[in-house]
Amino acid sequence: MAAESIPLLEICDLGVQFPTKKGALLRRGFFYAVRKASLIVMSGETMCLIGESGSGKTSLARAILGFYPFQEGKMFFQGKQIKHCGDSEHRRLRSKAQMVFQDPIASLDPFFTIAESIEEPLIASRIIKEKRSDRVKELAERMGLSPTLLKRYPSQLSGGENQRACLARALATRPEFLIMDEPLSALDAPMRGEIGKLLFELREEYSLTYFMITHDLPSVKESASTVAVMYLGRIVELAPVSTFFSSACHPYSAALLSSVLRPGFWPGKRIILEGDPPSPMESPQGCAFHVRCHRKTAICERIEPQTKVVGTGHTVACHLV
Amino acid sequence: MSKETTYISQNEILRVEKLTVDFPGKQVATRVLSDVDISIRKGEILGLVGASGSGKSVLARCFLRLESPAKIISGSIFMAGENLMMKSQREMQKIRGKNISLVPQNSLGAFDPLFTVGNQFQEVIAAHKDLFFNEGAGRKRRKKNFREKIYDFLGAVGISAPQSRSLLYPHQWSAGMRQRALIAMALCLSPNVLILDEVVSALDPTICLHLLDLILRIRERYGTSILFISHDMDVIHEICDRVAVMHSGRIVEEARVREIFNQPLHPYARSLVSGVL
Repeated sequence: MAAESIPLLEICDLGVQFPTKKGALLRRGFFYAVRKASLIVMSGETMCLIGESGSGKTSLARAILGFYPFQEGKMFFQGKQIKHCGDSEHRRLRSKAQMVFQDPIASLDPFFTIAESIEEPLIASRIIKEKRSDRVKELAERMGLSPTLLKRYPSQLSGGENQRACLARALATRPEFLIMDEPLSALDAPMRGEIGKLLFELREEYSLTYFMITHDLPSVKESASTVAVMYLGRIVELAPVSTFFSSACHPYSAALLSSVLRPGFWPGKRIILEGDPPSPMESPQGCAFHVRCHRKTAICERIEPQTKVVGTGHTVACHLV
Repeated sequence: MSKETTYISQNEILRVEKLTVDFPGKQVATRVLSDVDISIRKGEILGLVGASGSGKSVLARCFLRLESPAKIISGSIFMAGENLMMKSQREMQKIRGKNISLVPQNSLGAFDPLFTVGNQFQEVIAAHKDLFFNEGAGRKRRKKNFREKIYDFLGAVGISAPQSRSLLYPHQWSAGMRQRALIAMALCLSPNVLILDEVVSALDPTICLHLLDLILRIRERYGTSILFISHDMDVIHEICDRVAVMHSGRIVEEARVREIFNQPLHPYARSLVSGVL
């Protein structure tokens, strides 16, 4: 896997815009949900995307899969360019990528049994009926779902069992690339540990590449290989996991690290960010973070920082670096 | 957030003895809490942990005698020498908010979606107006003062531009701000005991940290006793003085934070702590 030099997915200066709700169709304004996002996902690695809610993490993940069109920038999948959303290359990406959503109960059809939900992607990829039921049983067994649960409906299952079903459904078509939007945040603590372990095993077994949105920094430290930090639509820091946890440069990354309450995780004084993140519709002048930054200088209020390379695979967008 | 400050003193402000609570069913009643003994001391933050369904929120509601759908079978709740079980629901209405306040779990569900946040805040003050105003003040004058009071309280919990924000509806506020507004509403009557039911569990870590800082500052400034319900041991470790561990309707262990993290005695408490460290 590592021998391949061509990255699985490369994103250059990606921009995703949404219309503001005000005004008629022709007078409608746009705002950027994702701006100048650049990152490289090598095959076999686990990329973790962190940031507050409203920072555009989900928009970026969905733009990669084409749920939302992207307006600016380029994407390369296995070295071939995706020119615009939904072209043939993008469809090829989508056949090899799957998504797991945040809320497992909401993302399963309430009128389908678990078996039907897992079977559905197999129907779409035109696999004959006899093979399908075997595959469903095999997948369910691998995910640790007992066969009696397959005939039940999502509302009759616990959150953890539903998340296992979602994973089984996502892996039914044997994808190479799995995009996960906070797969563990809707589960309680013991279940989180179990599913996290399952994800780790599956990555080795199916040689998957993970692109994971998460809030849980301790688990990032254990499982990720690269960390990307997003703030208000921009990737403000991108670093290999060991570099990130030892020497994160951006003040926002430091604030995120200090907000982990696990005893012993952050030895120093906690950095408390005042206020809420601003709305991307009224993005502040200069550096988007300067309003809440505890290290801001005069230049931060006027000029937006460019992304700088500070080490191998380590880029930061901050004036202070 | 220093953990060294010792607010623990022996005088209790609220004590529950042998509280047994059922959910009445058609044929058989389900026991939710059995023989719960718990006490909150003056000026402390008591954490209440347990898995979902262990009866944490039911216990919180029972402190205020909000009994539907649960029913208190036996037990007593003492506050300032009085047994709250002896009071009628009408008398309890005076105590709720004034002496004990509850901040519920779901901040969006706790607000009425059809009224602005400012209006709902005003309702709280209007219901207890004898605490704020002399009888003599005219009606118009009072209404104007309402507004100013509301802005003060919202500002105190770190909400900027309360004038314009209080005219918005709850769904237009962000989750962290809604939670802070609920805390402000609970605090405006300066209660002795504040019950916070899972206030930080749905928030981003940075916002969560801000809120925990606020809770500590509230305790410092007003000396409020706080019952902090959570399922997150990390949060409990961060702000609580003592912890009560709840498991299937019983308090299985009650100790200082440091003791429970260093040497938990009950097997369930041990499994909770081992998940963290």
